[in-house]
Order: sequence, then C-alpha cells, then structure tokens
Amino acid sequence: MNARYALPAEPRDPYLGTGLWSRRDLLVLLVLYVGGAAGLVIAWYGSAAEADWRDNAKWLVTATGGLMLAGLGLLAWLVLGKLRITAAERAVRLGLLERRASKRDVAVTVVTDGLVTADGMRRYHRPTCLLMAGKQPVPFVPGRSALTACGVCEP
Amino acid sequence: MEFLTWLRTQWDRAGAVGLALLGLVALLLGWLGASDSPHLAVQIPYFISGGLTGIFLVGSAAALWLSADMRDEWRELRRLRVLLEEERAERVQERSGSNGLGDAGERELTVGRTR
Repeated sequence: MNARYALPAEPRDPYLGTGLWSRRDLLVLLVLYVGGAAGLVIAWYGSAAEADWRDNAKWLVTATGGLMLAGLGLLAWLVLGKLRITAAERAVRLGLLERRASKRDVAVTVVTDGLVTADGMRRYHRPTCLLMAGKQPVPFVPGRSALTACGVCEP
Repeated sequence: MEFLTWLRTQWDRAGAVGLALLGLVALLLGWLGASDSPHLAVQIPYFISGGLTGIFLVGSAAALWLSADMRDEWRELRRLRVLLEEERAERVQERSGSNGLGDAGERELTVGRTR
C-alpha cells in the first residue's frame, strides 16, 4: 500500500487535546452533567421521605431542573463538536477548491485559446470549464470528430 | 474475542447501548412501582427514580452515540486535511523546482480569486 494514503498516527486521546473536544469542553460537560445527575438523586431521596404529595412539588422541580441541567451539558458538548466539524469541513472544502484551481491553472497554461476536450470525453469544452479541471486538455477541431458541446460551459 | 475487540474499539457505542438499556429498565421499574400504589405521594418518587432517570439515561445514550459518530467524522476530515496538506506541499515543491516561483508563485493561487 502506498504510504502516502496510510492513516496518519492517531492522537493519544482522540476525545481531547488534538481530538474534537478540548479539556475545557469536557469540564463544562462534567460540571453540568454531574450537577444534573446529583439533582436527580437528591430529588429522588427527598421525595421518598415525603408523606404528602403537596410537599413533593419542590422535589419534582429539583428533578426536572437536574434533567434540564444535564441535557444542557450534553447539548453544549454536541454543539461544540458540531461547530468544530463544520469548521473542519470548510477547511477541507477550501483545500479541495484550491487543489482544483491549481489543476485548472495548469490546463489553462497548456491550451490558452480555442475549445478543448480530453481522452475519453464525449463533449468539447471551453478551456476554463470546471469539467476540464484535472484533465489533460487536447485541442478540439470542429468537424473532425462527433463530439457535442458541453452543457455546463456552453462553448 | 471479536466481540471484545469491538467493545474496545467502539466503547462509546457499546456504552450508549448499555445506557439505553439501563434507561429502559429504569422506565419499566418506575412504571411497575408506580402502578402498585394509588397514592400520589408514593408514585412521585417512582416518577423521579424511574421516569426522569430513564429519560436522563436514554438521553445520555443518544448523546454518546452521536458523539461517537462526530468523532468518526472528525477523524475522516483530519485524514483528508493531512492528505491535502501533503499534496499542497508537493505542488509547491514541484513548482519551485520547475519555474523557480517558489512560495510567492503558489500564493497567487488563492481560492476565490481570479488571476
């Protein structure tokens, strides 16, 4: 296997540091999640000791608050991760665009004028057509082949 | 043995399945406990320990599974970025070798800008 396409070394801890989430994110999650869980446990013990249902209202509120707190922690964890993934996706898209632009640049320098095609293509294109990106352009001579016009660049 | 390997590599998804099962058990126990008594004061502790805790555990399972998916996506993106960076470095090297432009020539090729 080509070493170039081998997986890069995994970070020691994929969840933290060089991973998707930072230690600060983990701290936020733990504080909210553990706080919420503690609220649930306290509410459970508190409500079990009450004999009248009217006195249980405060424990119900405590339990609901704990649930919301834990949910908020989990939501923050997922949102922070999603934001970083979105940023990474943008970076990869930009990298791919740059790569394509670089290849198109090469094609334009090879054939700067006239219509072009490439081996295996059934249509002819303008040299700047996106569909020519990364392909080796061959000058198209009208009448000498049965190629049709590209529907994207409309030469 | 294969199952153990899966558990080690997919511990977050295994944890999510475990939490979801625990949540369902909590919901079931809470329902059984609450249905045994007609008194609201007795039912509320079951509602908290069974119902709300069950929701808490199932929600945690969903978040854990989603975070596992996100981590996988992150790994893929990181791999792509590494490959793109390597390829870009090679391009810069090739260009500097072929036409002597070097870094300055490469900088002209900025995405979104027409030359």
